[in-house]
Amino acid sequence: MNAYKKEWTSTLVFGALYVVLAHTGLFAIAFGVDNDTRVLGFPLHYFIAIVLGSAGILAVSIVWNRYADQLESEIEAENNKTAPEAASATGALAAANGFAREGAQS
Amino acid sequence: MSEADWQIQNIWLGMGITLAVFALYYIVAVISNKKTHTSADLYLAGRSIGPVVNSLAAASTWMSVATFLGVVALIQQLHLPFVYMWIQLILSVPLLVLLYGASLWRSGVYTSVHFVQMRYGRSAGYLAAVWMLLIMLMYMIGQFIGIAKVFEVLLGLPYTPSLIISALVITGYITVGGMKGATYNDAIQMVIMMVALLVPLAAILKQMGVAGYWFPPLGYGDLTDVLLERLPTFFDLKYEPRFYLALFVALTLGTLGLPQLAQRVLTSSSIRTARRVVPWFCLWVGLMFLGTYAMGFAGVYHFASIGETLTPEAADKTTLLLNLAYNPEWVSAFVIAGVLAAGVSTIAGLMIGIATVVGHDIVGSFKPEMPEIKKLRWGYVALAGTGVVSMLVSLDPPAFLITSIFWAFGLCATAVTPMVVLGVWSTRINFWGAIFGSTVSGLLYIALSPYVFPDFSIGSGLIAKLGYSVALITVPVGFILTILGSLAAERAFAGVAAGELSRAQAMVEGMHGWATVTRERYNGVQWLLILCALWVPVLIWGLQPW
Repeated sequence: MNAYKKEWTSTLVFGALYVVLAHTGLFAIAFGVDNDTRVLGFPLHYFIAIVLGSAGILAVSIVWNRYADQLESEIEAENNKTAPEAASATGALAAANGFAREGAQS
Repeated sequence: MSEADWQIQNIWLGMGITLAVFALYYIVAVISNKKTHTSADLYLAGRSIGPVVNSLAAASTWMSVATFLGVVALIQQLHLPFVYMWIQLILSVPLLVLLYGASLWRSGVYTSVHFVQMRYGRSAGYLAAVWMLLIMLMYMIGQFIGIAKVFEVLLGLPYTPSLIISALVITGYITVGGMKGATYNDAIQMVIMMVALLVPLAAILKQMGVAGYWFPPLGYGDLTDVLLERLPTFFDLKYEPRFYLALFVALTLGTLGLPQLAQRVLTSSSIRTARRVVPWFCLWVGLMFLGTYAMGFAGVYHFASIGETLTPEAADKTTLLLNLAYNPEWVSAFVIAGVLAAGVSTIAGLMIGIATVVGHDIVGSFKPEMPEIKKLRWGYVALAGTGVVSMLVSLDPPAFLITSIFWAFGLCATAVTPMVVLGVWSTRINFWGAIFGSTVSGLLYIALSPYVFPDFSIGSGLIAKLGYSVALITVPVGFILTILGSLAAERAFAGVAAGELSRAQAMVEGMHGWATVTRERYNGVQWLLILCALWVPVLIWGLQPW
């Protein structure tokens, strides 16, 4: 998979993980709740909600950081491969900023 | 229970600690002022902030007065559904950085409005500015009112002098320090907040006989049975599935578009440090949120044990009441410093956000060649002006500006998030689609809410007041109109649209870090149509009577 496809896939996967971990209410509705099933004294669905919504999100963020660093290196490597016949990164950004000036005057 | 019950008896203690922390904020602001030489320093701290300080500052901006006062009361009133509502607020910065923060950092913009201006042109920038200023103003007025109420309790002054004194003191230090001062002060304030919430909470739990008192975020499980005895339905889900879906549609998608949080990420010294903000942010916010739920449980336990039923006004002060009941008075004074820190840090982020949109994005677009020294001078004027105008509006705010901030998040999800996120990920979204989608869906959100035309309001009660029932209709409409409007405009205005597409291709590929412009990346239409199709069932569900 090239870096471009990885960027899309990883954004969708990490985005979905974030959303699922912080929105466990729908799962609680789907699977039902039982106040007698306890973890650390809390009803299971409450425990899942608060732990996944904090520690779970933290864990995903750490993994995503590592993955995003690696992906950025891959994008740079692909940039370097095509560098001789292409504009530099600053060139592309300059083009973008050129658009900014045109856009600002439109 | 009366006002006297949550007031500190020794007023000089409260005054002393408040003066001490504000003196510290002013010292930091003055030091930062000496290091502010350009408008980029003033608005973005010279893009020099490391991940730990920035994450503390971002978390601090995100924590509001409600973290200490309102939330605990709302947990006691709305029970578990409110906890679900609050939990997902942690996603604001992670999703913002994942979906567009890093790209905006690369493009060198100052705010989300600046990005919209670059991506779609000046008119779309003005439209985005109107929505974002409205949202930030609603947010800021709530904080000013909250802080004035804390000053009222602290100083025993009437509301209006409390508001004027607090607003002028806060505006002063934020204007002097700019973004650098605000960032370091926000970081200090976040530390104060965490200590002020968690350490006294551990002491309270210990005195309640809770075994896990040494780790308040997860150590209060012993209180569950007392809580269930007092509130047997506390852990019930209460609402239908649509309510929980609306939390994602209105709140998660709304908070990820908030400009003051995006601006925090843009102060980072590099892309990597911008990303490193995310896990640190989750750590600080996670601890604070968990501590808030623990405080809610402790409040229910305490008032059950003394056999008192709280009025809503007293429930708002649960954190103070618990500290006054279990801890020495100086601890309560420090907790008040935490409440003030929560309010002023949020105001700092919002004030700088508004000043940057007005001073840089709007005034700057009229006078792009303004000399740097003038830009800086106007920046200070914009900052001070923002504080003074917000204070004046807060003295007698129009009713629509003091609706719940949750309602404003729904407006952001509807009118701002689609044009920003789609603009980063698709070159096919253009000026026409962005303007059409944002204007129609934003106005629809306002029109269908209970505040403007109550007879046309969708849903009733809490779900209508907080904007959830409306957002399930207008957010899908916002995405669908932005996409279909863009694709239709491509055909209708083929010549002009081709030029815009070409510029968008260069910009979007550059924003994602690509050195070459292939005009193939982010250029597909298929995923946009799939996204529209995915929103259709949500829209149909939202249209069913609640």
